Amino acid sequence: MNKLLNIIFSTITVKDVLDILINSYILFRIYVLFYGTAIFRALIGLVLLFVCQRFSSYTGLVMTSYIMQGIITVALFVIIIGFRHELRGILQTKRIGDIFWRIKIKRIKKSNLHDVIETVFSLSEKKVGALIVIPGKNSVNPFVSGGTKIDSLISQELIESIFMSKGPLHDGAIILEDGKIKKAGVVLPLSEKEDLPAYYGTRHRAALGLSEVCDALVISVSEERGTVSIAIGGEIFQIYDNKDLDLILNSHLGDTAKSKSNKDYISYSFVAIICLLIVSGVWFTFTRGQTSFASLDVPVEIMKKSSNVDIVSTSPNIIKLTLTGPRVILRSISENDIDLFVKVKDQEPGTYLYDITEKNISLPPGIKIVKIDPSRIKIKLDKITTKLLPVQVDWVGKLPKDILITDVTVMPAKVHVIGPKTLLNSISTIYTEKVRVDNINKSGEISVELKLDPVLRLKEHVDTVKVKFIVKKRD
Amino acid sequence: MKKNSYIKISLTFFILFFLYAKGFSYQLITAKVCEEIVNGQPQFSSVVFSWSAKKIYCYTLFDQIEKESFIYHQWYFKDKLVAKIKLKLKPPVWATFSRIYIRESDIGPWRIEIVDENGNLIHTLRFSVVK
Repeated sequence: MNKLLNIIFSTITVKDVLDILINSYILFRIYVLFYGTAIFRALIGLVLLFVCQRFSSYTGLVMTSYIMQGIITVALFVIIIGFRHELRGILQTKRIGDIFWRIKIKRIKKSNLHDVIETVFSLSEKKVGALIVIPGKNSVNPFVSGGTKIDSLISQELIESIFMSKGPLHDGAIILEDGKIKKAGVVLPLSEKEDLPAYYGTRHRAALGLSEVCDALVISVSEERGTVSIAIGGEIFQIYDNKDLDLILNSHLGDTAKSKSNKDYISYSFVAIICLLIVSGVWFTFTRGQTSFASLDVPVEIMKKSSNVDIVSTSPNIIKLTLTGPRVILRSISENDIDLFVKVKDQEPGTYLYDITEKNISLPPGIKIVKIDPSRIKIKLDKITTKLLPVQVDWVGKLPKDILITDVTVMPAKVHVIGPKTLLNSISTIYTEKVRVDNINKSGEISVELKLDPVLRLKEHVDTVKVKFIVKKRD
Repeated sequence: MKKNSYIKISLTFFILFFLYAKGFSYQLITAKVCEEIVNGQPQFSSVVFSWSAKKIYCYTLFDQIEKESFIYHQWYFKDKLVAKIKLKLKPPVWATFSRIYIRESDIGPWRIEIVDENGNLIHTLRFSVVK
């Protein structure tokens, strides 16, 4: 497990970290923009579908995975088409900061609640229609239109005067924010629900409509019946006394503005961490999870128990492994990360065949073997002996026509060679490395290395031999 | 059995063995690899020959030959026996030679083992064929 983590984390670059952070921020912004709206709920559903798709892909449920992929694609179109108005509302916001970086934690202060509640029930008694919007965490600006900027402190008199007058503002909604009446005469989106009671008029539809697309609370006072209704989270219900309204508003706004603000920041920080974790998870699934294939030529390591015999040759001594696993891990591993070993149990000289299976191969975690080629190797075992062999100079090149090399003395003339018995039996001479004759024109002495088979070694620590030669001119 | 008897028997066996061994004995005086044999004498003896020489001779001169016998000139190219030539020796002194033809493909290290008719190695000559 540690090895896997090492491999995974050692391959992460600054670019990868940037990739994760950018996408985490995008996800965080989606949360900030859409939380409390119907789009957010649809996006949650989409995420769940995606998780199901990845899970079915991971577990090898091919058909389920394909169907999930199809559903996700269709769902994306449905969300874009179904929530086009809300999306347009968000994208058409006047302040670019609302989309990219601003987190709005502005709302009505608790000290104003009393005025609002009193006003609502005062209007209710007088059967004066009213629509009061109290935003939640998110701005309502993307979802509303029109309106006149008021930016005045909340007071019962002012609210009543807005709704009781026959002026142009009385038909719209007012937005209460930061202890102020921000706007009046605001047009809210209408709910398209068809199962609303008949006595709900346009004002109720507007209240419900806004609550469907964002986390705002909307108080609606019926002009005809004088009832007070609250729309929040896509639901609308009637309120009968000021205590209930007080309770709901307190719940919506929190105990105090300050504590609410702190809570919001903690909540956003928590969401930011969650976004980071989700994106990291998805990123790892995508990058580490994508399977790929690779071929590696891995040398065979022979482990022998017996000291009676030695390994003379292994044929082949390189095995081609076709591997599958996460692309990034496959890209980062080399033949050094793979151990391919064969335990030799035989103790007598001879040639033996050994099968190479997965048991012989130690792979990094997460990597699987698809093919072993060849899957059988031939190992030749032999006893190790020593043989005294003469040394001969291996002359090469083009001998000048006018000279003769009449005599050669090699020192030492013979060397003890240690190696497999069978091989040594077939050898009767140890040759030197090639010595060129092209430039020889007089007698001399040179040092030359010996050319040995890789399985052979010299008993004496002799690296070179001295070659003394006598040159004569042709008569 | 007396101690003298052991000595007598051992001496008899030793004499018989000596006589047997002596029957095949001869002394190698000269062994050379050369390019030519002129008037029974080796010419241009060397340890490195150009393949353009076309022929290589192995000349051997024996002395103290007790009776007619045989020797072999065994030609090895890179430890592989390529020619085994049987040559007659006649008392008391005898010079004999063997010859092989060489081509470009014969470039490399060679050796000639001079062995008696029982396969005992008498002498080894080493040389190379070059371009």
